[in-house]
Amino acid sequence: MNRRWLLIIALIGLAAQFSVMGLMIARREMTLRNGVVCRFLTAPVDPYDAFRGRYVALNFAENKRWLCDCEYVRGQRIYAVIGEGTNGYNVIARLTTRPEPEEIYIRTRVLSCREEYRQLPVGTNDVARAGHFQDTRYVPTGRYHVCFAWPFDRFYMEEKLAPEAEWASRRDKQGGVAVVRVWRGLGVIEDLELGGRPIRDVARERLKR
Amino acid sequence: MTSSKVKWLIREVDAWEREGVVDTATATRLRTRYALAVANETPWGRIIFGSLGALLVGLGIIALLAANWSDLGRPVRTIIAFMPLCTCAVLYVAGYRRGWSSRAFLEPLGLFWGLAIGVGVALIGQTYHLPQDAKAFTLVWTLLLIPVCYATRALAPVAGYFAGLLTWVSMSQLAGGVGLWYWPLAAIIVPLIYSVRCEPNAEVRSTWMLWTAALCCTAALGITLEKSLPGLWMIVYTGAFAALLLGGEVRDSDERGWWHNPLRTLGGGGLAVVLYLLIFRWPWKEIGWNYWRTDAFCHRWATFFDFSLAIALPVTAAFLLVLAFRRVPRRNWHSVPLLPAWALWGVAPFMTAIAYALAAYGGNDQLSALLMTFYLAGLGLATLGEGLAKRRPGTINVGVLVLLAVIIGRFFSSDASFTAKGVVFIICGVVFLGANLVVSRRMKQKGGAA
Repeated sequence: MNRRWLLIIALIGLAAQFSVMGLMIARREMTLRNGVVCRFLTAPVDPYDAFRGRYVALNFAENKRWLCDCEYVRGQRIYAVIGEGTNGYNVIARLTTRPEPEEIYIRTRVLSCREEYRQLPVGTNDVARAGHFQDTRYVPTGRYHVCFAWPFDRFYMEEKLAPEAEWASRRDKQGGVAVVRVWRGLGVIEDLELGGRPIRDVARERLKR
Repeated sequence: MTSSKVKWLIREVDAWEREGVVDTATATRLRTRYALAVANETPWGRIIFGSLGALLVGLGIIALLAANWSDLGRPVRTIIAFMPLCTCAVLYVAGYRRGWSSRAFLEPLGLFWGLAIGVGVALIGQTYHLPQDAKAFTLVWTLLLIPVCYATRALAPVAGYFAGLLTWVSMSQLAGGVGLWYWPLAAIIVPLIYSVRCEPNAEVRSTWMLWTAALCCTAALGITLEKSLPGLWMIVYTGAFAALLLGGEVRDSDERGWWHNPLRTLGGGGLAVVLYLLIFRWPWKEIGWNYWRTDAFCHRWATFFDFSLAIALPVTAAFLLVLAFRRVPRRNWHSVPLLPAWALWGVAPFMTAIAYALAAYGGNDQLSALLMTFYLAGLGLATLGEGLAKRRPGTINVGVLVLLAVIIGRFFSSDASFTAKGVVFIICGVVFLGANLVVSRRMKQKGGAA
């Protein structure tokens, strides 16, 4: 192949590589600047990623499994609408395929969707009261268990701080709070708090002791 | 020709000149010609050490960034994410301007460039706490490798591209997705491999590329099949391996040695393994329309791909069979036309299809297994015969190996007594030893390679 062509391919390739990485950064920067702040309760656990290093995995108190009235296809694009919870933190209010423009929502995908069944005893009332069913049958309730992917499930930390953060959370027996900025369906974690303070500061203090 | 062989030849030319076998002018022309060949030879030591250095630097950067320097702000991290890629851009442009086209420069650059993309994407993921999505990460990294493969024409990015695609398609299928995109994405690199194969002095590189591509595609075939119709994989795999074998025969029929013809080696080896599995009864049980798979992870539309392959691959094998058969000289044995052994191996998808029909519609798994046993034993005999006729010990050994495998496989799985098994094995062993002795003597008498 001609050397000039190789150079053109290389330049196009470099442009594509810079664009993809630039776009990834730009979308998240826009979200962090313009997004609405949402706070979710979570429990930090400390695992490891070979490429990106240590992080705290976020086990959100919010359930990833949701009971819906309509059936979704696996892999379908859905929107988790964010609402206010009773404890002052945010919660997932509902799942929808078309959110209202004024709503705050996170774009995600359906991982699985299965129909809900109710167990019905076959037998007399006495047998049912005694709890000794010979046979049971299952009837669909018309509702579906929808499992969706959380678009934020990890918070990367310095390799020495991540285990300390987990220890701090376990010792104080308190869950963390993930501060997430949400903008146009994209959610980016801004910070992780423990006892109202950034988890990095808490972990640093523990490390100094 | 390797540099050691060229050195030997130049020493010989010196001797010929001294002895008067060639005149001085001819000797000088020969020396000039082979000195040029040595100059053009790929400096493998430099390439390997250069690539190793690039690999270590790349992995070191990944490890450094994985440490996660939280004191650095987002702007600094963004600059760091782009730095390895910028280094590659500067190196490539500098190399272009200074005319550095040696493989010792481009191979390590290709490797480092490939790693630089991964480093950049991973650092962005770390900075913005992107969720765990190994599938998307692998796909982005792999797709961004395409221009690196074409720009450097290096082995490492091509190998990385195929490995990345295979990883992505495996994760995609495990998550219940459809991996059909693997094939158009893999096809993007095919023109590159073809053009490298046409390059002079690129034999080793192109062979490695072809091996990587062929191995990854063979593995991906099994992964991307939807497997809705149980047992269809047998026709698909025998068709694919037969097409590879015959493609290798058509493309590089003059290439001798198993390593230099990856298509033929992989096709022949794969066909032998699959056919060996098919001599047993278990693959033929519960196959056909009566056992159509329907579960949550089954995509009905994607089964179209399985059926297309089950038709297209045997048809391709038949086409290549005709093409390859027209290229070989005709041989007769007592005025009976002889078929080359690979032609018999090439009809494997059709034999498998017949056996499949017997098992799926007749419900007779024993008959199918028996048919494949006789077919594979026939292939062993044909290969042995061709090896004897052409005096090729390697081909003879392959034939013997296939025959032995069939005998051992079938006989061990039978219900015959150990006494009978022992006697038959001793007889087989004696026959093979006797045949080997006779063949060795005949080859010595005729001056063969025994």
